[in-house]
Amino acid sequence: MNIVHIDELELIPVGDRGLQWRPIRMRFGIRAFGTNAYTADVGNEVVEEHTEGNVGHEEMYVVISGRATFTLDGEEVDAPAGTIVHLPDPSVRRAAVAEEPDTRVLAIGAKPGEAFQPSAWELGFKASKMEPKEAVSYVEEHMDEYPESAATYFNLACFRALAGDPEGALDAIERAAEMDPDEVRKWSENDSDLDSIREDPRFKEATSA
Amino acid sequence: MAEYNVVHLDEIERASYLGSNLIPVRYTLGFRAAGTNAWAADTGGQLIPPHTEDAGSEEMYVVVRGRAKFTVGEEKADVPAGTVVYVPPEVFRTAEAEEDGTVVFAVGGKIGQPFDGGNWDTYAVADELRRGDRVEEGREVLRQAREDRPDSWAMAYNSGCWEVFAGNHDAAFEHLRRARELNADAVRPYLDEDSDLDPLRDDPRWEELTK
Repeated sequence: MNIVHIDELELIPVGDRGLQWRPIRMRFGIRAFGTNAYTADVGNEVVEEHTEGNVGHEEMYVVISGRATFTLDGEEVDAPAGTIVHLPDPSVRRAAVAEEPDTRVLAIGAKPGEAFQPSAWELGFKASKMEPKEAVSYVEEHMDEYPESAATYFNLACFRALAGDPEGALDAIERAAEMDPDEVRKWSENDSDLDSIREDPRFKEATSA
Repeated sequence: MAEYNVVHLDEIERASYLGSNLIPVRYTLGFRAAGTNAWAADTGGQLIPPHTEDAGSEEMYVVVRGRAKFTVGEEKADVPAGTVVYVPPEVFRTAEAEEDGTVVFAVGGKIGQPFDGGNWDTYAVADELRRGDRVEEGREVLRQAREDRPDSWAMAYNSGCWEVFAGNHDAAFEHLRRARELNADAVRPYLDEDSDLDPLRDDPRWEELTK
């Protein structure tokens, strides 16, 4: 049987506010809908502050245990275990903080009216925990499972740069910049992962206004 | 004001469905991204109605509270709160509660297709209202559902079955005719075999409907 307790799922720290991402969709290879769990210690982030504006996902969060305070476009919502928070509007800025020990939150999301496609951020988050060379192999091996995106090529550029492959990193940053020049310029500005290729004319060309 | 909905699982009005207690989350919230419902039972009670999903339909269950005994295919497992069970398409599954107040959350969708469910759970809500002598409220649930999804043969068909139980055969024939117009091939086997429609079979209009 495909069965796992949320606490036994892989724990991938995300960001700098204590968020613990527990990948469910990847664990089971689910392709029909997006779903993940999140855990956090008291006072830490249990839903990362974000909007779904870029992917248009409608989301639902279910507090499985513990208690969380959600902040939805600045409004605070108390959410004890058993609470469901539904966000039909992708542009609402959402975040949540754990208020009790063992707070676990389940997230479900997809774009209404479209066949589900997994989000590219999963790949970047998962690989970010690995050594650079391993991360490069992981992303290269799995990127076909996701819609082609600037974010994936950008992440690949970062991992290749850290792994000592400047030519490969430049290829990836050029591909990312072709797909979404404005975002890639912003992402590139302060990302120290790319410092080893920052002075290269190809990098400057790809990320110039 | 930000646009969002907040509801507790215990606040949602339940509906009995195939021997289980449905917490109709998707219907209550109008969620459009995936099938999302929950099931509640006390010790020994049925949580998930025994069933097999079609090819391409993936489902995932999360025990929110209590403890459940799952059967998936030939396997059985004791599943405590906080546990996720993934069931691939075309595999039999059911679950019963091993503690009072057990709640299981369910998520489902079809690979490679936009979410297009919401027939059976809407029907369950309307049927619960009908059985609770709130017939007009139940009828309104289905009317709204047909308005939201005018091309859904299943919604029209289910409305027909519902009107049979409500005793309004005129309305039943109207919905069943509409269902047939929308998808004759899909409706045909149900017209032939669904015992819900038995009270209509001697009506002179039946022949017209099924010819």
